[in-house]
Amino acid sequence: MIKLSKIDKYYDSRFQRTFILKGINLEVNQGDFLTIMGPSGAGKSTLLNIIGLLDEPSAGEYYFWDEPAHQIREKQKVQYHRTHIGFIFQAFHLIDELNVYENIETPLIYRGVKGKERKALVADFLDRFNIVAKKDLFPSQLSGGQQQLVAIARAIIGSPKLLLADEPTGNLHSEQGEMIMKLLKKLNDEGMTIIQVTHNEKFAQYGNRIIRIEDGLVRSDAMNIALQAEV
Amino acid sequence: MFTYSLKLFIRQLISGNRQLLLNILGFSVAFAVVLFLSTFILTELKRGKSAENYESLYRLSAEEGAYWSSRSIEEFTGDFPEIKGITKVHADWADRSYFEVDDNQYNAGKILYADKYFFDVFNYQTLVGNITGTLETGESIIFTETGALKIFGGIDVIGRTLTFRTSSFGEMDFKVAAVIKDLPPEAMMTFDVIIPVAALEDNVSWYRSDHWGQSRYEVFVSLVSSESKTNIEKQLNAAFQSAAPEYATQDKGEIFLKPYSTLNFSESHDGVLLHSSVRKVKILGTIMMIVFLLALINFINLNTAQKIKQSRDIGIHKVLGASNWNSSVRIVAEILPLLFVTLLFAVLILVFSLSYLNGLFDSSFHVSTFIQPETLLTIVCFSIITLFFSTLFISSYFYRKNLFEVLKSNSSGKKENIRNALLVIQFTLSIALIIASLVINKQNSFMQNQSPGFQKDNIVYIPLSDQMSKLAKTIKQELAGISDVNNITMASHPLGESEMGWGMTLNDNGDEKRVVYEAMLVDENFFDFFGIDILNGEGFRSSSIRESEHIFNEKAIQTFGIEDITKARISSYDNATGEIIGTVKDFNFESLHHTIRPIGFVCAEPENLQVIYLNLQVSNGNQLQETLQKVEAVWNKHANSWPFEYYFLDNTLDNLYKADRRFSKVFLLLTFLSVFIGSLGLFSTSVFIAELRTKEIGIRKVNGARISEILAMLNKDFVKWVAIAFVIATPIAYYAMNKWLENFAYKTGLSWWIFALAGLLALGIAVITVSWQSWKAATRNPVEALRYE
Repeated sequence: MIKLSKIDKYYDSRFQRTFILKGINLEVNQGDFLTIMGPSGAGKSTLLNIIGLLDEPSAGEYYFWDEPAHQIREKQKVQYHRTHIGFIFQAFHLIDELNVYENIETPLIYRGVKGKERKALVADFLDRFNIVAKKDLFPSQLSGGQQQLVAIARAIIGSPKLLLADEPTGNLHSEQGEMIMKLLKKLNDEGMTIIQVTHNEKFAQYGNRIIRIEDGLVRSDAMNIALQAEV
Repeated sequence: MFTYSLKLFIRQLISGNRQLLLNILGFSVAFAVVLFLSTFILTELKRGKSAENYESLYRLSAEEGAYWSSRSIEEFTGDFPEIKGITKVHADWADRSYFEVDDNQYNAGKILYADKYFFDVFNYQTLVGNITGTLETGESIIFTETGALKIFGGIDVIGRTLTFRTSSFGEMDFKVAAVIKDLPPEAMMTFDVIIPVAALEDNVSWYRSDHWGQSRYEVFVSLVSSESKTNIEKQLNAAFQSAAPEYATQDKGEIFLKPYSTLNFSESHDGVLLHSSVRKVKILGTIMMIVFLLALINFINLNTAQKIKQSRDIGIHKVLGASNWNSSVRIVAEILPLLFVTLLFAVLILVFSLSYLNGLFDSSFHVSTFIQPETLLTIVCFSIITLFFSTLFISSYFYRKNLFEVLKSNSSGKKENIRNALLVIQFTLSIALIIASLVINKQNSFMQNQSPGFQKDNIVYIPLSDQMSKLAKTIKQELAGISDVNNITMASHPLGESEMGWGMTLNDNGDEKRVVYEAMLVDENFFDFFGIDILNGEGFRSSSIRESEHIFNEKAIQTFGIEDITKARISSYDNATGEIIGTVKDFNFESLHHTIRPIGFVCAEPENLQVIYLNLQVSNGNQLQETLQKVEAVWNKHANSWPFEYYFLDNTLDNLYKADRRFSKVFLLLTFLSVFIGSLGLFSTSVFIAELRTKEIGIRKVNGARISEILAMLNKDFVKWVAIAFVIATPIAYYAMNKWLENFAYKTGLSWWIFALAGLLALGIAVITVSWQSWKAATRNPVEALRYE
């Protein structure tokens, strides 16, 4: 469902061209739980942003659901954001002025879901994530783990086909991190395609496939043997 | 979608956002200014159009002025079927008039003397009583609602009697016949009370006059249809020519009908009509636009800054699926309530400052005045402009940007050019307004401090009523006996006022010609009293032939082209020839708005003079009071209960510049508000910039920068903008003020220090405003600044 071929991302300064990504070839299938690993500055987040249509590659071809994403228009991108892609971030990026309920509701509003249906859906998700009691609280009143929980609920309420997670556990302590990863695993088991970027070797293992990036190049791409063994 | 955005905005509002409050404050002030000024300007533009029949309403005018004598008007009231009505009116020219009801005295307010045809021409809505036929006899009087309330405390006053006393016509009794509805603010002919001309004709012996040249009336004509105008004009000219060919040709010239609605801006003579100044309307309109522009720039800058700070939020929304359209809707949803709140505040500001503004602008607006279609339309227009431009500017920040950047970055480098340009515009306007304010003030103080060419200090004058004038000789003698009265003289009217235009025949060594000049009847020691130099001859003596001998000023001699005054004779309609016995040095007998005109002084007996001048020699307030008490005692002896009243000459002369001072105050207020609005914007910009550069400041401090260096760094840009703005503003202001000064006969120079001062003021205000914030940013602990990354 996702296919990158020979993706370059570079910045031109006056004298030289600095590559962030160089010749990335990648294919992600439905139901994958892909972990992207690599040192700081390797280009992991840039890659994720390109996949998520937040950033554009400088060269190469990118097929998103078999559509050539490198040449789609702004309007189409908005549509993909509304229906196909969910995001979670290291810094949670909840909207400070909205409470838990409203934060989760926001994507549905942009998708034009009717009020009643919205209410039912949000209630369902609050229930599923066990945060019904917290629905009237604002982000500043929640712990990091809870915030990320809300962020995940918000990311998947529109039932996207792809969930992108940029270091979802980076700002959490390990116990909360564990909880978040288990949740992602569960979502994956239910059929959600997930791509996560992480530094954490342990959490990387939740993915069924791990690629390692260094200096803009894919160094290794392997199925997660340990996990498969466990399964 | 819209309600969702609204909710977001209200949450932000409640969370106590200082920027937002500043935003609202600045824009409310501007909106209040726009609301008031646009109403003011609209009222001026509409003046004269409030009369229903204004399209077929005319003033009878001639080449030589629009004032007519009773005798002339008789020729026009003949058989002209196309004329619906023709009426003569005049204003009150008394120094003082008042009503007496049950032994209480009330200021008469603005009096209109009108003849019995008045209501054939002008329509008014009657509240109580009946106006038809009331002006035919000299016993009825008509009040407006306000006029009646002031005197009787109610409007149910038909049949009430009152005594009217005026220094020019003496005493008369009236019965209230009707009360009419108050005139709208845009009325051109304004009054509190109408007194029938018939009353003056009945009671005042000298008022009835058959002289062709006793031009005291303004004449208004209502036609059946405006199409017959040219035809009527022809008929009127013919009638006048056949009745008084010489007078018509020589003194009046071609007669024409001037449409009532065009009178508003055409002349500025003191008559029964209020006049608007085109110049004032233009200037106020310009300032209104400037104030609005300043506020709009603020609004855009503040909102953009706000949005840049929220760019992370915008990014999140975009990730969650918000399209550009959604984002724009959000911006609109945030600006609309902001505008609404702003308008609400503006109305509040206006309501609370209305009485102050009415005083300042000499207007009589009521809250309801603002509720009219034109005003509402203006507000809607200005709101739409605001909405449009702010949405445009703000959206342009985020439309093109890569989503990823919006989400991550905090600062925006490129668009700063626009913001800087807007700031420079603001500074330019502020500096130009400050310069204009300074020039206006300088011109005013120049006019007020310029010596008029005669002695004006320590002089008190007392206007006499008609009856008291007869006793003038006795009163004068008794007043001269008071120890602190240094000197005493009399004249027909006070200096500074000009009310007697004479047209006479000059016989200059055999050549006859008509000359027009200002006339003043004076006592023989008049020039000596005021220290006016006599250039030629010895001035008036006790042996001077009264009402006949003239002394002209230099300007008159020059204008009339008299070479030898001893050979010239001047005559009136009575053909009483008078000698010209001297010339006086030119002096400003009117305000300095006018150049010196020809004036003739005629020696007269005290009985024919209405003003007594006293030169007092007093050293302190107590002594002044004592002296005035003695003067009052003399007054009371002869006054027959007429109230004692006195004026200081210097105050009277000062009052000639009242309108200028008023305008100067208005301008100063608007300048102050503009600078205030500009400063608010500057303050917010500096807050915004300091926030953007928090990290940079932290790093610099860690690396050893001193507070003073940080301050200099943050203030440097603003100083640069002020300098650029100064360079742009100076020529604009120079040009504009040069043009403005052309309206004055005597003008001050545009000194360099005005420009320097304005620049320094602007710089000072900018530096203080910016430093407020810079200081906070510069003294902050760098650890704090760098902690969050």
